[in-house]
Amino acid sequence: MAMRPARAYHGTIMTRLTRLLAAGLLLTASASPPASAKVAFTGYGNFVMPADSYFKVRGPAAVLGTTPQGNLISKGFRLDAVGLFATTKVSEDADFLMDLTFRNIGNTVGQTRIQYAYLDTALPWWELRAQLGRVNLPFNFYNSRRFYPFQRIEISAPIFVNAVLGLPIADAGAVVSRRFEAANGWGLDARAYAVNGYGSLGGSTTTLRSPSLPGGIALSGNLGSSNNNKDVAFGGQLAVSRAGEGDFGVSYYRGAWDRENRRVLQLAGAHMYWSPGDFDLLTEYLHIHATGDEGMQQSVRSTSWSTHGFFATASHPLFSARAKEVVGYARFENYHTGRASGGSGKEVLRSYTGGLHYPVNDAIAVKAEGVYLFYAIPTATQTIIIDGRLLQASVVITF
Amino acid sequence: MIRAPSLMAAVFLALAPPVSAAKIALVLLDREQAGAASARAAPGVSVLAFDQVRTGDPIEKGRFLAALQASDRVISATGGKACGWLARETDGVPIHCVIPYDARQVLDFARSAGWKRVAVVHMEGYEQVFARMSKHARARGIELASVRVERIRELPEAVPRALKTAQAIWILGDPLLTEGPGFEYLVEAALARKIPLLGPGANLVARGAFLGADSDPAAMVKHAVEVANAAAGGAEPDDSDVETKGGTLTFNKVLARRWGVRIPGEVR
Repeated sequence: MAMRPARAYHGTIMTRLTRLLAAGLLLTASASPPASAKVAFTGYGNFVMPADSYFKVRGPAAVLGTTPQGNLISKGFRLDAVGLFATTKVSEDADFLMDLTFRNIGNTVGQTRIQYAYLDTALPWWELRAQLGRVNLPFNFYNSRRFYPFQRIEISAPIFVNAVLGLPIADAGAVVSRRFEAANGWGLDARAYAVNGYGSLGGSTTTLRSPSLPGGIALSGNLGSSNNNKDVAFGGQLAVSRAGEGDFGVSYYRGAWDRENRRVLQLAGAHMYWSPGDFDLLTEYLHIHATGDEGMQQSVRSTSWSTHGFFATASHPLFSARAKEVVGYARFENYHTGRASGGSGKEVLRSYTGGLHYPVNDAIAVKAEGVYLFYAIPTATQTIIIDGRLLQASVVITF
Repeated sequence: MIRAPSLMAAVFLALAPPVSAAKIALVLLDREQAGAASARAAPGVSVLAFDQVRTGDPIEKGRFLAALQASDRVISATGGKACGWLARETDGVPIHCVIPYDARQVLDFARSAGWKRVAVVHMEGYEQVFARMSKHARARGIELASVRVERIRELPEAVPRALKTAQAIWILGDPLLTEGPGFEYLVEAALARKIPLLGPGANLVARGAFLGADSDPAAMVKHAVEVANAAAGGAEPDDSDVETKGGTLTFNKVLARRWGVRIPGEVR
């Protein structure tokens, strides 16, 4: 009974919000000159070829679900993603941007996502900019600037943040930002946001994550199309940066993830991107703290758990071929999840990745990569362990 | 929570854009040039720096193209390669590319060298530029012969025929002709026949051309801003607006000595 008033209240607010947002967008569109109706379409395709994939999967059948157990060996071809970006100017200093991404592509498309869709505009006060709509959260560096395959030199994104936290972290809400310029192109970027935030795992009101495959261990599916409680999640980022040289910052997120607003998820991050000359280094630290998560209780012996971990990616040109540089890269990541007060029962993820990146031209890049992964998460009866290697190649095409 | 929608509506209300008579996008090569131009740009002129766009990133490219597509006209002072990219990627927006050298300087030298007929190699789309150059050439008693190709694979058929009667060969400017196999073929064809190859940019001289013409970048930016400001006021740029005045000619002294071509003392 306690949930009914909350749902009713939430429904009323969302209806008002939707109406006002629609009215606002209509107002903006009507204030725009006719030339603004032109839309620029660009896009990309990512074609991946796992040449040699060998993983050992062990764990209790009850939690592995449809994931087969034993030695998994595979080869093949996969069109990982095709994305279309639509961009249009809606006023002198305002753009509307949208990304429509197709994944799991076969005869039919397994997944169609609007990755982001927002109005990006200058505000008339204090040199502020705002993004309104489904926005990428300014959390660490990778999420907003390395997520797409054409933005990064690696084939795969760091596994924990991509598969467990879920990249890109995009949600309905607003981001307000301002850059404070300093000397020699350096400046401080301050960003604050309010979004619906992470909710509970589908079909449950008390589970944020659960040690079940596939999907349960990931938070990525917990960002829904509407808020699941009466409060918004908020956060921000402070970063010192200079274009092409470096970006150093800290990020924060906080929001209740259950309908009663009693269970809280907090994310804290720090990133360092440094690119002196041809060398390129990106490292990100991530801390997750969740309370009231009954899904993880059997794994970490507590409903309150936390994750600590980082990844670091370094790259440097190795040699030239046909006047283009072949860039080599290496990445390491290490994440541990346990109960917030410490103790036994830990989720562990470690991976080592290395590869080569070759830009054929502005529009085509060829990559090759090797990955070693070790993942373990305790369950009530037995630990799920995934351990193996992957060799793969990819071609990224932009247009 | 109740106040948030009102704030959002206020934000949208505050967005009412100033509408100008003509919206002009002025594209310059780099951020430094764009910064200098912004200070002199008239209302209605948006100054964009080409080097700030990673053309292989569809998100950045989309935002850049959206800004161009929302303009009534694009003035580009970026040189041939970037201007070619702009022409390929935009649709329905008139693009005026400022020629990155003063063709009259080249023709003045051709007259002083005693050349009467010069073969001009150009890609499809350069017809108006060629017509303008022909007018300048005729005024100096020089005949320009057009060698127009749609693809670089047409060069081996078109160029030898033109070189039978020409005393020099001139590349008007296009990355397909100034870089890669297109340029390699032209420079080989010219050197084999001991015919001077002329083109845009001093860098061509180091790769075997006889003459490379460059603009004065500051003067070119100043000129482009003037053209953009006039266009924002409603003036339509004509052919003379896209011509650069002044600049530098760079000669290949080794070839000049071997072929006995006199280099004017006032240029290097």
